[in-house]
Amino acid sequence: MFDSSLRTPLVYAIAVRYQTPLWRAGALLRAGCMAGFWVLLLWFPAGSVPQGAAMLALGSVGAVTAWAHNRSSLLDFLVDHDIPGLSAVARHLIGARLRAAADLSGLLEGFGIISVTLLFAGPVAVHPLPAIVYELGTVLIVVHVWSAFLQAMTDSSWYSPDVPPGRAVLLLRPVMPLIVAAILFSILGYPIYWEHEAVPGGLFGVILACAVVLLLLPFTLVYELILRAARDALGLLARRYRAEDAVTVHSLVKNAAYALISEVDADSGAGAETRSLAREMLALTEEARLLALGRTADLGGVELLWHCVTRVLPSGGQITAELDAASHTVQLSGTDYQLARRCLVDLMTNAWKAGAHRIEVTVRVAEQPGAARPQTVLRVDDDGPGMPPGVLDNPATSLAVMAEHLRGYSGSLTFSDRAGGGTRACVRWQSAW
Amino acid sequence: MRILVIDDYLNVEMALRGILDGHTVAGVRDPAALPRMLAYEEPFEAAIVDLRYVQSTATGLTALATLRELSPGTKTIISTTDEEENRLLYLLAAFQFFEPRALLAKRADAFVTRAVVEAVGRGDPSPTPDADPFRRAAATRPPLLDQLVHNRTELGIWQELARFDKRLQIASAAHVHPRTLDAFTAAKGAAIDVVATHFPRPGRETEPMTEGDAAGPGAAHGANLIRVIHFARTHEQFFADAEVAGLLEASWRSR
Repeated sequence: MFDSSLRTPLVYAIAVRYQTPLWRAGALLRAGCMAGFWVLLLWFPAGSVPQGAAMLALGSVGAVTAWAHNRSSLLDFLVDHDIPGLSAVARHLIGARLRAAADLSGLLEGFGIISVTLLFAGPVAVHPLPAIVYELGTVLIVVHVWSAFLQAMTDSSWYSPDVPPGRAVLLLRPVMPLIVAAILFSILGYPIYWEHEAVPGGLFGVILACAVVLLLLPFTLVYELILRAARDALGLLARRYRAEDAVTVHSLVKNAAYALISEVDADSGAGAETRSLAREMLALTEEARLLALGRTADLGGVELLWHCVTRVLPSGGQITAELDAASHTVQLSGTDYQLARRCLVDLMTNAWKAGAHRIEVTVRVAEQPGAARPQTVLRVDDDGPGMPPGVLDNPATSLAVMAEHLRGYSGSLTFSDRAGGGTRACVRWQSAW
Repeated sequence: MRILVIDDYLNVEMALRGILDGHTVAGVRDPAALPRMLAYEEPFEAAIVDLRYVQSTATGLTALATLRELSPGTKTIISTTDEEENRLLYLLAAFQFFEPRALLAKRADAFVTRAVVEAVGRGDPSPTPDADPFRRAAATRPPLLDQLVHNRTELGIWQELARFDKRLQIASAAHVHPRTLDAFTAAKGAAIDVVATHFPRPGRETEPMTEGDAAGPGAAHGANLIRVIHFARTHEQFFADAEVAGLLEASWRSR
């Protein structure tokens, strides 16, 4: 209960939706209660009416203030016209909307209902009162207290992610119903324990009234459970929508990418850069699919990069690709990540098309002695037939295009033969931003 | 000429390296990394700035503000895809709060791109008129953006319009009276008309409302509110952007 993890935009939005009708209805209900107290004054002993009116005054002002709290135009008018006292009150009420706080209308209503309760029971209570007047008064008191503290306990500002409530009010919140019930018990129980008088309903009636107030606590608990359930249910729903979006990306864009690659491969006039960009579309589509699924925090990591670039290789066991263990945790800058994606897509596709059955990849970011920027190094080993000589001298090859791009980042692409057969491609560049 | 490309997609920078052959091109993928880069690199004569970035809270406005502060001699060119309507307010803000020399559509061909960048580098006017409507909008009095968002309360209402769909909820969340909200929606409906006049787009008027846009005319209490909610949701990120709020508040203070 009173879980700080509920302070999210989503929960706040739900709480505002819940609170909007409650505020107005609550202010109206409490105003009705106050009107009821004034009506009950008609059955008070004749000499006690001035005392009764005086003790109802605070709560009545509280009801008016609570009504004004919902009338922004009135508050704006009071602020604009600089009316002594009232303008300051209006400014306070406007400011108090932003966070959970003990505002003037709350304090007036709180102390006002204590004053009203003291009219019916306690050391300054009016005697004698007809039983029905006492009973109706007690019911109105409980309704008023319930309405006011229901609003206080479930106010949307408890869940505001932008203006979190203060520590003191956070500590006060769970004990608020206990404090209110204790105050109510001490006043309503006064005639029974101090004056040893019988009151309508007796001790049972007093305990019942206090127990009803204490119900605010389980009610708030249920309210928060519903909020939590709604948050979790919406979280699940969001994940489902993300999954559907991911399927959409897959079926629309990936199929289009395959069609594009097929056309580009069949087009002898297509340049190496075009072929390379078309192949990269597959890795990009997979990346977009994973981001749609919520893997945004992984962006820049070689783990995600590896998952995406391996999509360019055919499935079915014709070829296996392995990333060395230490590379999985390497993190790259935005530029390095995209440059690595481009290089890996090209080198792995070339190895596969050349007939390799196994590819091993290493990614490192290495500090260079004396250099301000580190170097990103990719090593791609394959068991293919080897690289034809002069492949980088032919500008029509995608590898030559890549080498040209790498020069723009103070980088290079080199090939060497592996001892047991196959090729080692080594790409390095000065790490970029 | 040294040219800086601020774009989250590396292939844009690579393509520009080819198009701007003979010039030095360097790039950064996220405006948040720009201060570190500018501290390390030689000054740039021109910068091509994308407006929106995948997976970054920073925007082109962040980049423009950083360049103004750390590299005031760099002339800026806004680069954007003109298909996306939700960039409109970012473009308005860019031209109201900064002085970009040109607007370059991402689908511009190599010839136009090179001509624009080189003209800006020389200090000449851009050979394309793409930026003119935004300059005119920024020059209107009050500027078009001011007509849409005039103070902190209005910004708050725009933010809540994107989150709620019922009149009383929006008013409650924005801490305004429902009648204040009614006056707001009427005034902003007119401002949206002015935006539509400045930046006509085929199909803008007939964009269908989805079920989630508003819970029906009965719930939304009036066509004005529905229109304004739709506009708020289209530009939700703009109204919630802390950089935008900072720029707007600075402009309100200087009024």
